[in-house]
Amino acid sequence: MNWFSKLRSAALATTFAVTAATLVAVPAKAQTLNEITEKGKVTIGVLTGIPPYDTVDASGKTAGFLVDLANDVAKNLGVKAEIVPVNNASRAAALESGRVDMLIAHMTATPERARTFLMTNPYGAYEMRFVARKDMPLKKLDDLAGKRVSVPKGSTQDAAVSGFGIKGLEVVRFDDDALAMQALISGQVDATAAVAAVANDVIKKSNLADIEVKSDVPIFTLYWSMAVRKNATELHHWLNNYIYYSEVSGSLGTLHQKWVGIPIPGGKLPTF
Amino acid sequence: MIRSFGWESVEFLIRGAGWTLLLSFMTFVIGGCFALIFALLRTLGPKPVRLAIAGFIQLVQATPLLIIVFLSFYGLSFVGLHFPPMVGAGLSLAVYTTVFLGDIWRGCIEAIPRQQWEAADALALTRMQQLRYVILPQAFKISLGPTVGFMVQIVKNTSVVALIGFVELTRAGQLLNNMTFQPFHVFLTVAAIYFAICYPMSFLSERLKGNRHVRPAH
Amino acid sequence: MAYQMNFAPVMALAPQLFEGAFNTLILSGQSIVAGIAIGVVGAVGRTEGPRWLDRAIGAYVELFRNTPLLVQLFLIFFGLPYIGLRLSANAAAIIAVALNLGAYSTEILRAGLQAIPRTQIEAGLALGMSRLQVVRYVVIVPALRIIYPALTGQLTLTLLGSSIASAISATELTAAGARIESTTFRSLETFLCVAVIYIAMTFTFRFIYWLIGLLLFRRKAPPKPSLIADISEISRVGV
Repeated sequence: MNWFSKLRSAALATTFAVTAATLVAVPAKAQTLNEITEKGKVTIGVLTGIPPYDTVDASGKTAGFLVDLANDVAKNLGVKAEIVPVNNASRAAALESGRVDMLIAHMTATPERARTFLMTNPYGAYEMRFVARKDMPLKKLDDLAGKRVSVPKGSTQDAAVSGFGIKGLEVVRFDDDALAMQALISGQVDATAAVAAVANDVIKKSNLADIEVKSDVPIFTLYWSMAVRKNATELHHWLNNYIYYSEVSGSLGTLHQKWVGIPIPGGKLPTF
Repeated sequence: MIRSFGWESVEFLIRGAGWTLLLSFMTFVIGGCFALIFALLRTLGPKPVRLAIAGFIQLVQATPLLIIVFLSFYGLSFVGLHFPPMVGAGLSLAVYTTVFLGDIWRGCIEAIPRQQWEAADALALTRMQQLRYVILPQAFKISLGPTVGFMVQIVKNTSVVALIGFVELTRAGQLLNNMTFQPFHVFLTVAAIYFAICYPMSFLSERLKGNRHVRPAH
Repeated sequence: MAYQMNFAPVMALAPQLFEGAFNTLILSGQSIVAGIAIGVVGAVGRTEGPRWLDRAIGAYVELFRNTPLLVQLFLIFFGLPYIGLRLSANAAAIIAVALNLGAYSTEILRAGLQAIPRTQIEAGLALGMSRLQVVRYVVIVPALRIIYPALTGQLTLTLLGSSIASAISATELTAAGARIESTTFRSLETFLCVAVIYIAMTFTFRFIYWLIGLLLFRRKAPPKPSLIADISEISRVGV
């Protein structure tokens, strides 16, 4: 036993020392505009799998609001776009590790997240609404007492619903928005805190006659930011500029209308 | 685009299955090369090397595949190596394959009786010749069944690379379900495709292992 | 600028990780008890039962061993409601992992049972041992000894495989990690912590298995089966 445990602890220590050393020693790439131009392409992590914001056709090709937006960003940078599909679990790692230069992945700029990445001015917004069966009364937040509510894991919906402090409310967390919605449709939860546009799209396309977006409960509008690494300040500035210009020139609104079928919720996009 | 489950959906899934197969093959080839090196070094290498490899194997075998793939895929990016998703996914799955297959193959090499080495030595074969002509051919025969059996695990486990944005069969199923919300149809079809790929291999594996249940009753 | 590891935001949420680790233990513990029970019934059914039972159990085993656990989870959790069966996430996870383990352990245990020749049982009876003694000393302990590496290996894989249940909102360690990662965006730090906890749990269990093995098999051991049989058994594990 003795030699065995010694061997294991030694191996453990060595491996972690080596891992840590490699990770600390390697510089993260500073992304200046020049570097991107020289490289000739910008690698953009895009969230996929959340219709109507994006769709996949039978050949497996992704298209959608975020993909078009990413391509437009690249076009305005004067380089080629390399689109890397990411999901909720991998988006932060993709950026942090240098796999992508930036993320356009439905991220709300919370102060906590902004400690890790630079978050741009919002390029879009969503209304968070509760979605539930028609026969479930939901006039005020307290009606959710004792109910099970699904949310995407670690999302702003998660933070909001967990933070309401409603007695007996159970938050059920899924990998993404669609799975949270699926849980409602399968009857695993009583309600889901969803992006209104996503919920409306699902209800319409799948003919879910007994499910509705609840409009009485006051709920807020949240904004989505792009993200770059902490040291990419120049790119961050440029993106803010790009977002401002696409908003005033109307191209951002047109793109949103094209894919989601409605104007960007919440009126004029805020800046910070 | 796809609205409800139909022929187009099946086509989409089969395309995903193609990627699963390709990725499994790549993983097996890359992982297999390293596994062979690991197996040889662990049986024949100097003691520190043997211990280091044993330690590495112990560690990786104690971590969920999901976490291994995550850490190795993004770990590669951290050290500045960027691969297309396909290659990255293959490499990170290869870490897992190396460790398990290396262990299986080491067992196969160690299963060759000591006398075989001694006999080969007596014939004045060099170490490499002993391996090449005496040990490995016999070990190879023993390893066939377990190896094919492990390939089933590889095929099934490629499903975790959905995490790093690679669209193989399982991720295709998820995307399809996000569009159709018909999980029963979607995942039953996905399961059926996996079964169609894996069952023949499982069957072959058992055949190759032969009648191992029959043991001398001394 | 070097990449700065910063564990502080993750450490602040460490209680969530420990709660998740605890839930992983509960989840896999329940699955293991249920899965081994299925395995025992399955193995005895296959070796002692009528031919149709052998076939039926064989079909179950092949279905579960040749499809990924994640797909099984999705089918049980999201698919079963369509035929009127609604389960909580943790219940669905336990059932899926247990059924999966049941399939693998059926085959592992069966291999153990078949390794004990009938003549040995008869010999035990001839020596005047009671049926119970024969079952214990001639069948179970020697059979267990043969399959012990494969069985404990499978249990480790079950513990690690339960991480997949995070996809259907089970509240275990990987899910806790994913949530912290999403809140703080400190992905590498979070998953390193998660990995360390899994490794610690696995090593603890391996140590426990080793102790149990020592207690169970300390008596003069039956002849060790050949290494080839060993490899063949070990290669039967999986998720």
